Amino acid sequence: MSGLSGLFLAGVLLIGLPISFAIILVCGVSILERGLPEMLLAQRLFTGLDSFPIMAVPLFILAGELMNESGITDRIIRMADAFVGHIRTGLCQVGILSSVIFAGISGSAVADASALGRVFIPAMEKEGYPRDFGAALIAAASVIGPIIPPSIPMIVFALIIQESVAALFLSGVIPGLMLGIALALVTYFSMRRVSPTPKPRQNLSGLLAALRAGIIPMLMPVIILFTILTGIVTPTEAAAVAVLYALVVGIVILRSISLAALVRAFASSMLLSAVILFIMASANLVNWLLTTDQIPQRFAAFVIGEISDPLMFLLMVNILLLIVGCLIEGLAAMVVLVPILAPIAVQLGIDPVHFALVVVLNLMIGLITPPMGLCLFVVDGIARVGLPAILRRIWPLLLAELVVLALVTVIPQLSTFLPRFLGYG
Amino acid sequence: MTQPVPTIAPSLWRYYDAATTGLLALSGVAMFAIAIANALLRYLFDAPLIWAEEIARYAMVWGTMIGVALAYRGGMHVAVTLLVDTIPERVQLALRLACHLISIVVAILIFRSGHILGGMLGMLQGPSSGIAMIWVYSAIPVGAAMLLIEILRRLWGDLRLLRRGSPLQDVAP
Repeated sequence: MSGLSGLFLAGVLLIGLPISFAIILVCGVSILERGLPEMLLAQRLFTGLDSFPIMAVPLFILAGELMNESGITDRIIRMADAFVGHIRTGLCQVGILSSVIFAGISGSAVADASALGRVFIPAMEKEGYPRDFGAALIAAASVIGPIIPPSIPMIVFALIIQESVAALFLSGVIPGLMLGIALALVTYFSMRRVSPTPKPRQNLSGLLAALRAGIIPMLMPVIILFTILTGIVTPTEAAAVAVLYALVVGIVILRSISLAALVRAFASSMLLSAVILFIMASANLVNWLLTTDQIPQRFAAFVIGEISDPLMFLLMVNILLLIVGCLIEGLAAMVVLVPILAPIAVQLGIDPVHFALVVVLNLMIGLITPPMGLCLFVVDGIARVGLPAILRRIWPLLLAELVVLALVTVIPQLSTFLPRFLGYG
Repeated sequence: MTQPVPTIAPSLWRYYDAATTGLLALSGVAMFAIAIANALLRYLFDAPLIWAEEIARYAMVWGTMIGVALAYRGGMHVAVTLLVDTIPERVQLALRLACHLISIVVAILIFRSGHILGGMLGMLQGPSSGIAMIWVYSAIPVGAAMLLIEILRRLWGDLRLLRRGSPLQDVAP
């Protein structure tokens, strides 16, 4: 791809053309220019879509959507409340813990932010916390969603670098919990003066009752991880199992899903998936073109000539991605950049699992940095306080997440220990 | 983020929208049903369906291509809004019109390429299902044609806004 087409790409992106369309346009022109067969375009798009592992993406989105429709959000919150509700700044802590639990059901941060935001932002305001802080906290906590398995970005990453989905899922568990703890600490120290008098601790029977209600949503990540880790099913089939579980919960156990809601969930999750899958298909096209020009190889040779220290490289990648993540949505950035960056990481001796976690965490933090912070838009859609107000409140939380990012960048074991311990990677 | 829909034969469009949304949901049902059936058959009876993965994949290709068109209707495609959000609404409308026009080129590119692909390789058969590939490859030109329909609908709606010249209250941000 020449500099001219790069400039053209930037132009059409800036005026608001969908990213996938822009990529297809530039690649289509490039195919015609070189006199390559015209059917290549459709063929590369087709091969990008025609993959069983990719199907985990729509199925996990569907499972999350179904669980949401069946009203498990309340159960998650009740359980979180029983365990941490009595701490000072209790409601904030409940919001964070709910986010962590919710992360085990849905693989997307945006879904978490909208489901939990609708409940917590008004509730926190009622207890006296500033409304903009509530919005900021829920947005920051939603970053945990795609770090703790299941995770749509991790599946996409695993597909790009041909790594096991199970290993990448496991790599997020410890960092995901670290994010939760970091947010909890920052919130405790910044909000303890605002917090109302803590309510009494739950007794044992209260805790057990909350556990009983919470077992339904809690089982979901357990089932997903168990079936994948024991080798019973592939990740795609595990996603189908998750959908089956959500259907059983919604239709048989709680009887809370109507037929209309069912159709809505299927259609809306396919719609969302189509957007993601089409970006992946268009990335397949651009990667094919880049590879025929040997651009990744040349870029790798250049970078390795300049940087030989793995840590230095990771640091550079982090800075690059933090900037890119501000401008472009995370998945789109990933499908274009990872095929170029991952080979360099491997050559520098960086564990692919470690590299994956750093990249995914970084780009998910991009969800709460302006101007392309999708989760910020979601919570502002609920709180209606305006982005600047939320941004003023979010920076300590953002800083806490960046500290976690720095830690997992410097200490590979935080991400690689669990997968290694369980025999992956 | 629904956009104003042209008012020609509104009920006809309602049927069209319902039918296409139904097809989209159906592709999801097919993917789920085939994947879960195959997993259960293999695990419980050690008798996986040979054709299952392939057909589920093809359902995903169809679902994605339909979904790409319908996502355009809802303005759901991921785009960079950094610049667009900061400019006056009239200019936004002009840029949106430009995007619709460029999208038409994209849809035609995909349509032509998919049409040629179907013509050249459509007579092949799916390796394990034996299904004629023309049924699968058709998803690409058909999806592109559906996308074209949605682009034209939104183009029509935006042109009406432009002509009316009134403040653009009913346009989603």
